[in-house]
Amino acid sequence: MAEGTDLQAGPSPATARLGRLQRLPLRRLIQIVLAILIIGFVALGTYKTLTLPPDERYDPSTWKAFVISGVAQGGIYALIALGYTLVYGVLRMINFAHGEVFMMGCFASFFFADAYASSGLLNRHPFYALAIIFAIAMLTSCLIAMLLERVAYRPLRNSPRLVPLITAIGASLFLQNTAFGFFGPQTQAYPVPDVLGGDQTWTILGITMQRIQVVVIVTAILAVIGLTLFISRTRTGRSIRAVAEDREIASLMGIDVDRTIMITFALGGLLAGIAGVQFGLTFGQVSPYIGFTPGIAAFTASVLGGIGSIGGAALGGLILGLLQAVGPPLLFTGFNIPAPFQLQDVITFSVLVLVLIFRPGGILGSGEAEKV
Amino acid sequence: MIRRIPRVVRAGLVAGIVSVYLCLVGVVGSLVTNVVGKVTVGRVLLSIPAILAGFLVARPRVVSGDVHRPSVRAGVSAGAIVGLTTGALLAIFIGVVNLLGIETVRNVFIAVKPELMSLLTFGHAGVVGSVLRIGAEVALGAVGGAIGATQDRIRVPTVIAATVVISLGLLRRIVHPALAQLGLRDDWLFSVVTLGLTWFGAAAVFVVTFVTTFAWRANSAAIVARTHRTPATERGVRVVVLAVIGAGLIALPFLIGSIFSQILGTVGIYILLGLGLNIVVGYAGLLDLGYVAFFAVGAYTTAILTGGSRVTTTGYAPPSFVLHLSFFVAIPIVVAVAALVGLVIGAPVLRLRGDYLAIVTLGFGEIARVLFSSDWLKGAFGGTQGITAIPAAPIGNLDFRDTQHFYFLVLGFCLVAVYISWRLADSRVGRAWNAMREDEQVAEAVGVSTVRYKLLAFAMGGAIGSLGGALFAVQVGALNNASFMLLVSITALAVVILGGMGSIPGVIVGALVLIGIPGVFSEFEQYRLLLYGAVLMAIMILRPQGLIPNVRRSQELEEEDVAQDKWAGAVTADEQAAPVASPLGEGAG
Amino acid sequence: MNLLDVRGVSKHFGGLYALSGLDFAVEEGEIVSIIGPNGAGKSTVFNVITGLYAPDDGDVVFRGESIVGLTPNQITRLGIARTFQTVHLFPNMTVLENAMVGQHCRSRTTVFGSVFRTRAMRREERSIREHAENALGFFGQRLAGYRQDQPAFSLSYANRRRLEMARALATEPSLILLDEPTAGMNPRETLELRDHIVRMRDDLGLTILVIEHDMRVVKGVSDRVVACDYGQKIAEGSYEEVANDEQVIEAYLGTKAAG
Repeated sequence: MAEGTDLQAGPSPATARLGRLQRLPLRRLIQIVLAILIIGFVALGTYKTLTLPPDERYDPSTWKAFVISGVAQGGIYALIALGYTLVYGVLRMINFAHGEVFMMGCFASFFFADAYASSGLLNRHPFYALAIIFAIAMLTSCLIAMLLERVAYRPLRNSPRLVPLITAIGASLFLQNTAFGFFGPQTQAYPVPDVLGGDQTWTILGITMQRIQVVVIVTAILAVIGLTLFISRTRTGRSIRAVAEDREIASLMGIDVDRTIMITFALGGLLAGIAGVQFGLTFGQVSPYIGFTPGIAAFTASVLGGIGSIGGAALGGLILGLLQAVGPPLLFTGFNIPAPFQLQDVITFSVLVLVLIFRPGGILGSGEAEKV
Repeated sequence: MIRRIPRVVRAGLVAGIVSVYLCLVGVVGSLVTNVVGKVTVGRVLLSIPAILAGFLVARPRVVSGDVHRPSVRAGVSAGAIVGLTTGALLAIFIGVVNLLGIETVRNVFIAVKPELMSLLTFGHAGVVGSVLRIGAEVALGAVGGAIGATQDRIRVPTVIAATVVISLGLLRRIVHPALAQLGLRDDWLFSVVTLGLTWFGAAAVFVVTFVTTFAWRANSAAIVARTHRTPATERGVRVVVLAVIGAGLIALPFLIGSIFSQILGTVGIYILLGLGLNIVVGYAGLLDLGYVAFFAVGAYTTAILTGGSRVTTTGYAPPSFVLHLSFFVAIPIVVAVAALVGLVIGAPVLRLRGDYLAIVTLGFGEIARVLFSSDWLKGAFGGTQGITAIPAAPIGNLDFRDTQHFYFLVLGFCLVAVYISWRLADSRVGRAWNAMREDEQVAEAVGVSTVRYKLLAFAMGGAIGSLGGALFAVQVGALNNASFMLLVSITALAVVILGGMGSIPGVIVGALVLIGIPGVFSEFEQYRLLLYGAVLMAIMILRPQGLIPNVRRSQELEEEDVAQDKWAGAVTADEQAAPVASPLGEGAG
Repeated sequence: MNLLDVRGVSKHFGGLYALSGLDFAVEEGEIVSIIGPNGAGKSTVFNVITGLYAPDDGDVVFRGESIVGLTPNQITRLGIARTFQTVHLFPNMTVLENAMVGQHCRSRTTVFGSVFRTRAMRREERSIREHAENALGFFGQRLAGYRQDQPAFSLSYANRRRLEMARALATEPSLILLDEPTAGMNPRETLELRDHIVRMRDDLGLTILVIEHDMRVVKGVSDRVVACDYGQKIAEGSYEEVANDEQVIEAYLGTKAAG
């Protein structure tokens, strides 16, 4: 045992004092300042927009249309967001490529829809044709999601968080450009059956809506209910919840973890497939690049609602859809900002950032980040 | 069920699926540069899955502790079975396409063209073509199997020689003019007809490389042992090596001509972006997906400070705020602005966990792009038309607009950035970043202000990245939002990941490969992003430490989470007052 | 004046109180042990003192100033160092670098100095290195020589514990908190470590607060023992007093024989 260590006994008093400035709780201050700024901006923007001179103002029916399209958009987001939430719940991983899973479903169904449109089946038997189209999209998205899990994510089960995330970014790019190579870069027109065409409306509870919006909202609600029942009532659903709770314990209890994770991805894929067709029918177009923006928006929605929670994803999707549709005209028009809808993505990302800063657990979450 | 299929057949199936994928995605049909004779890049790519699968099944295997090395004959036959399976899948693909008709399939898969089918069937219709394809795949698989099963001293030189031949074939566009500059004849090497290697040239290069590698591997140890080494000679060797590299870097643009100098300029810009991102991701462990924001800030700030113009319907107009500084006067301001933006972006996200941080920064990057190109800020940044007529960077008579001169400007900036990165890595600051990356909470507990060092990482990374943006503004002379897509962030990330996080040589190699190759090889451009995606996935799955790992970093990706989980475990054990605390429950790190 | 005063500190997680109104003090130059059954809130106290958790109630006073609300790195700078119950090193940094990180809060080179290798920077770097080597040298040959350039993950378990302590010593603390320093060590290593703890005070002049389960160590090193259960102090005094306290015996219920 060597002796003769000559460490100084304690620091000199000069270094052991903290200045007054160093004691400021900087993070709190930033948060408060940020909150004031944002509330101020939102309040001012709203006030200015609503008090515009009558000829520049949006009339009530325009606002109503914004809200309805927001709800429909929210339905699509909700379905994609469920995929993020399911995977996050089970693997604690952001499946960045989920937007491309959605895109692939949309693309696959497009070719069938296109064939039915040219053969006339789409307008003669719109119900059957749509059923097949939905089935194809769901199947494709489901297969791609499972393949993704098997090839890209399974080898990384025990890696640090950033490794699967980077892989997922790679997978996203890979899938997007695979679609580009397979199907070509051009935007193609997604055929819509005449019964759901743009000017066809239904009036429900006194509200007149485009039929396609009704279809989107109804399918989204059905899918959320179906998923909730599946997760809460079935054996497989119980396994998924068990794996989400604690993977190791679940495997000790005899649950096949790999299979359960695969099923989770498959479920996410099925829902993304539905969303794919909804997107195609709503916007009437498809291209390899349609996955990214809705993907990010849906991720934002799932964080907003509380990632890991099914109800949260649905709620988050709805709220985000509304914010995107109503936010730009409401906040920016008053400031005379031209083309407010250009700034839609700014709203999305701002929502994401703000939720993560102020309430990382989301609306339905615990209010505390699970571990920062 | 899948597990019951023999390994060899499974490998063949995977190779077959990959081959069909390569056909469908278009690389086989549309990469038509000749490598050797009339063998196109597409053909080379198509042959790789079978060879690789054959190679892998024939590699020695460890079976219950013993190394099981198949004989060459066994390797060949295993490879042949692999090839047969691969060929069968391709034959099925050919059959399906023929059955449905090329035109029908092409309505969906645009890459399925008559040229592709004739390439697959060697120009023979019907069954003959399919049989030829199967035969070819069997041969390729067998070759792969043979290489895999031979001993290292043959196998390694073979693989190296084959790689050199293919690379040389691909790099003709650079090598040919360079040789011409040096006054060397190369018509024996490159065919003037196919523009690929001649078969003679390929064989010669193969043999020379093989023999050299073989001899070096056999004798290198002896040669090194015989050389008398002293510190003085080592220093001498180092000086000579540096001098050679320096001379090479100076001569390079004149050897390769102005077109490739431009590509080198772009490579340099991405080296700068990579080095900056490397500080954020590699040193400090913060995954920033919005790095393009700094690139954009650098470019737009430079444009405005040096006096670019907006494009309007009536012609050019100055932006609402504009100075006419010299590029070199503007640079310090650009760097300061970027560092400031780094602080502003960093401040609100300080407490976010790694993966959330990534998505939020991605959001910031997109917000930056949308704002720069929005009609709202059109007055300042020119909206979607952007800013144009950005002056060059004049010193005396040089303005660095010419690509060969621009190269030197970039080179200078890169050297500075490399120096800064290198010095920072080995300093108090670098150690603090490393500690933070390895375990943020412990670093904090040991006395590192993680708030300050995160902000510092964002600011430093942003400052270096903005240099890339500034150079980009000079290089292209006009900016618009198409140059600042998310893609720039992802490319920079791929550059860092390919070489290895935290590794400076890794960034340089990453940029050369990922920017250089698609640049030189222009028909590859449309598959660039496919390549980046594949690289990101493959590296993370197969070799997370990257191609040229930072020694220290190498183990960490595997270890980090273990350590973090333990931390989490310790905290929860404490929080939940767990009845049993295990004293030995950690093999930490 | 007490060096450290923990005054009525409470901390709860959800409905569970890890600490409820804990009170104790440490005087300069003392070695104080905290004992108590698992889940008594011992590690939580450390986390509150070092700023990892903010207490829900109560105050922590160091050298007469409240340190509640300061960040962990500021607290380390004031002179409180700690080790963790489960070893937490920087596994891919070398042994020496681990210790050098400990010197971080006692040095001030910035980006400018690092890039330009100023004379002040080089001098400081030398001093950091010296201090780190000295801290490693506290454990004799255990962490000396070639080991200093090996990555920390390659160390044996006991050496990892030693390195963690050396890293804490390298922050030049006046108070060091050791969280179960002998956990997982064999009897010989435990004895050796007991001497080290005493020497930290005698040779380096540190004040030491230690959580320990091994009663031989507690008995061997402690000037004073604080016993906790359910986040409260149930006894305090010399080892003998505490070991014979009714409540402590009850809390341990039968495990007393081990002591």
